[in-house]
Amino acid sequence: MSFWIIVIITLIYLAILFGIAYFFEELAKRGKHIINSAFIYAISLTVYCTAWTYYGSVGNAVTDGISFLSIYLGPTLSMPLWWIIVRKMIRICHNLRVSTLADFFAARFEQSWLVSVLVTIICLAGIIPYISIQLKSIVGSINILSDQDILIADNSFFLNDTAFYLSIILAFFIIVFAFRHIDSMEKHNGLIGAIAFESIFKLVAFLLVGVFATYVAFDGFGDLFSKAQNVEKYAVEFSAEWPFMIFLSMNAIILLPRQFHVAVAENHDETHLKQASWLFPIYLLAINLFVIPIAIAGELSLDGSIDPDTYVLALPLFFDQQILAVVSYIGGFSAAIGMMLISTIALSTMLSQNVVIPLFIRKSDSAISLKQTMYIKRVSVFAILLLAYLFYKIVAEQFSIVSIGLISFAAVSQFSPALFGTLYWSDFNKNAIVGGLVVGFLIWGYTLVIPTLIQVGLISQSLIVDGPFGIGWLNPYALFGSDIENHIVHGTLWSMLFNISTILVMVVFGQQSDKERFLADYYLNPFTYGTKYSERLVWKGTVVYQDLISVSNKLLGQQRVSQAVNFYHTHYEAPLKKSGEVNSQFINYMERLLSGAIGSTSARMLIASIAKSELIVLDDLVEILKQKRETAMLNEKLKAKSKELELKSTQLEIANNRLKNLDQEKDEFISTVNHELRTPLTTIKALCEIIYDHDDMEDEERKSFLETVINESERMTRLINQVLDLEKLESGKVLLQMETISYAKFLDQVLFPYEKQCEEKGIKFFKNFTKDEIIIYVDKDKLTEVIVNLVSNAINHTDNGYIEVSVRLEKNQVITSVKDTGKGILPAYLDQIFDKFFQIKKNENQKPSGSGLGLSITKKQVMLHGGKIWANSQIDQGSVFSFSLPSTKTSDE
Amino acid sequence: MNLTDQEKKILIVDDEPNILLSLEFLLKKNGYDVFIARNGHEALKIADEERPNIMILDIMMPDVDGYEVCQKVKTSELTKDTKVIFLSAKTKPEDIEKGYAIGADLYLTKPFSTRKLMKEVSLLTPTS
Repeated sequence: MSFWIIVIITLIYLAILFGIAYFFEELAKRGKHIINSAFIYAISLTVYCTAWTYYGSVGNAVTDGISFLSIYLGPTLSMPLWWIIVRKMIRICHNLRVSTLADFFAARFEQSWLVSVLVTIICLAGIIPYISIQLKSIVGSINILSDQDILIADNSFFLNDTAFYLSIILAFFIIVFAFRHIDSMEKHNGLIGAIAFESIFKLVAFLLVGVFATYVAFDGFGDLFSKAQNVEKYAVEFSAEWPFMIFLSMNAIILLPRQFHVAVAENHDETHLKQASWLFPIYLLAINLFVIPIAIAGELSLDGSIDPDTYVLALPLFFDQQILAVVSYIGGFSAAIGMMLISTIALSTMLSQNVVIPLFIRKSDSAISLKQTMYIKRVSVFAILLLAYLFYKIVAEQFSIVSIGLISFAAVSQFSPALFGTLYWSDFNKNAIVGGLVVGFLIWGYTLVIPTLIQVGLISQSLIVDGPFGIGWLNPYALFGSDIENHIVHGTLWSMLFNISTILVMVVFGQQSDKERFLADYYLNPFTYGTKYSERLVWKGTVVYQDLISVSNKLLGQQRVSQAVNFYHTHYEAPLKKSGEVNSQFINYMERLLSGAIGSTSARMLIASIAKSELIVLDDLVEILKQKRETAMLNEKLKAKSKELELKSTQLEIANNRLKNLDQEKDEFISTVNHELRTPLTTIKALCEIIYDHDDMEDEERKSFLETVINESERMTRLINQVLDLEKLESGKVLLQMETISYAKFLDQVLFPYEKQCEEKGIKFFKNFTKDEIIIYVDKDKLTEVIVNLVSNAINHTDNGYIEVSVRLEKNQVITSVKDTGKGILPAYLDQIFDKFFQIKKNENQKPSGSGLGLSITKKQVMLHGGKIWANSQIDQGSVFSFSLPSTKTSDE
Repeated sequence: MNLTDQEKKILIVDDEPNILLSLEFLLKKNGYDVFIARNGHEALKIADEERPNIMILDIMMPDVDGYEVCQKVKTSELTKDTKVIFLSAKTKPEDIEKGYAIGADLYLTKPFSTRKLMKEVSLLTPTS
């Protein structure tokens, strides 16, 4: 086919692209946003599939089998994460009016110019060769199609070079459609429309070639595979390189400047991510469907001398399908040119907004005009395409699409630790991102770029054989003596390792300013802030109204500025003074407006340059944040205090209840004592009055009355003594006079009078203990009272039968029991008999003899000795009262 | 004292035998027909049977206490005319108020004056 026919066809196709772009642009102007659809968004993401995919996949399949798929697996696997990560990036970029990768990172570190320049340099170094290689693929495809070698074989003067003209045409296309608007935040509807068209075209073209190869040239998949000579190389066989390729492509799909541009900067609606997450993988699947059939068909049909990278074009030509060949050529052209377009836009935006314009602002004393900005942007476009062309001219000849592509991937992968740090790590600081990027970038360059220069012959071969200056462990292909055959894996591994390590060290030893901490909080939780709040990402400083307006007028034009000021007037609450210092909200508003034109880093610089005093950025927000933290801390403290108080209050309540109970007990005790004292007193008084008033009483009667008076007086005395005893015991005022005694001897003495009493009453008395066996340590008087009380109670309640006092040893306890054969006690009363004033009446007509305090006193006395007292009883068979005392030792020991 | 047998009936209720002893002696000396009860149950039973003119009632007794006895006596058709004198060791104002509130004619505290008691008893005894 004639070279010139191909040129004309190419130009026609470019004209169609221009037309489409123009059409979409006009449509958008009339308010019909066709571009604003999830489908177009998903399709525009396939700018990922470049000439590498279009030509390189088949070539890769022929040489390495199935491994070509790995770089599509990464993006597919990462799609579910997009809703989490990319949505966050979109939200941040939208709210902060950020449109480039460099601004995205820089904005988290107070619009750091250093960060934005660093990111731009890495992108330029990583991507320009990638653009060159697309240029090479276009030229290569024209060569094959025209069956000539005139285009690149000789070092022809550039004016005769197709690639040069192609670069110029692209530059114009970009300037017309991408940089027509001053505001880079505005979406490029025409451009994205053209990209979508190209993306569909490259897929259709590739599928047509695939269908032709499979069903026309051969007889379907079965036929192809049966004829293939070494089909086993297409078997799915995972190698150690796969994880690396998947990792690199996962990073590339979002961190390549062109991918960031279409996925984040050109996104109209976050929900488009949902459709994209399945549409995009389907596209990837479709475009890879016929890679292996084309590879096999090419191997079977074509001469072995033909480069497998060109099978997609060579195959239709071999079968003399001229039209299919042209379609295939345009498909490949589309793939290459789509990548070149978006990459150049993204890179030139970064170059101008993050490097050149800030430099300009610094040099030119705040004055930058609209004309100058546009000029800088245009020059950037030309500069980048020219650099790409030069790279192509000088070195690209030597490399395959795949190898350059992967080196690019490795370059942008240096951003991935920074991306995670930026989005998910609150302690991530500026030193960490700068350190990580510099170290990662240097190692990337040393292990992946320097060796390629050897291939070209710019550097001596000895570097990769013996290492620099003969130092083996610095060999860029075998760093630290590592033995990794695949240079991409080797370079990726070491650069990432150093990148991440540097970040970790810097985060540990680095410091964050308050402002950085606030921005970190914003980057970590952009969804909680909302648009209103992000508008508050303001700076407080003294900027004079006239200065701000004059700077803005220069950059945006008087008309736009006055429109914006009017809009501010009507839509914002804060009043606007048209002279003197302006409020921070207005500065922020204008900064956002300027960001659109020159990027956020440049806009920040521009405003900083006209600020009267040092600007204090975000001060009030830092304050708010601090307050928020303090409030949270206070809340925590309050919660703890309130819990403590609650606990104290329950403790108090318990104590209070106990006191109340004690109080009530005391009241009851006093009231009972009152009653118990008044009763004998009543009798005494009444009887005395009777005797006094009745002289005529019989002697017998008088004597009997007087006897009662005496008895009742004794009863009263006893009661008073016992009450006092009990009070002493209860208040702990009793001091025991402890001494060591022989228990048996002591018991004999105490019990002696009661043996006699029993004899008189006609009941038996048994003593059941061995002489001199037990030594105890007790207060003799108190213990005497205990025994006397128990024994006399037993005798009082027993009319016939016997009393038995026994002693036994049980686990270091001396247990003394007093058994009687009296009436017994109802089981229900057994617990109460030791309570104060608890009395069981012998019968209905008889007042009990005791005061009702005896057993409670006994109980207290036993307890004072460290013992216990209890009772067992059976009605009509008698009771056993037992008490324990701690034994000290037996006399045997 | 010209009292008929019917008008001289008096019931003394206490769980303390020595108090019963002195009351019985005093009342008999003054010509009353004395009935004795040692608890609330007994008191109610005798009150129903004998319908005494006056009842001298202790309060702190096991089972049925004096307040309850008084209430039952005063609300029963049979015994509603019986005059009730509380004779109690309970000396707190609220105890005394409670006694009058449930219908007592007199509340005396222990220890009591025999002279005063006899005077009050004679005042409460209906004259023919």
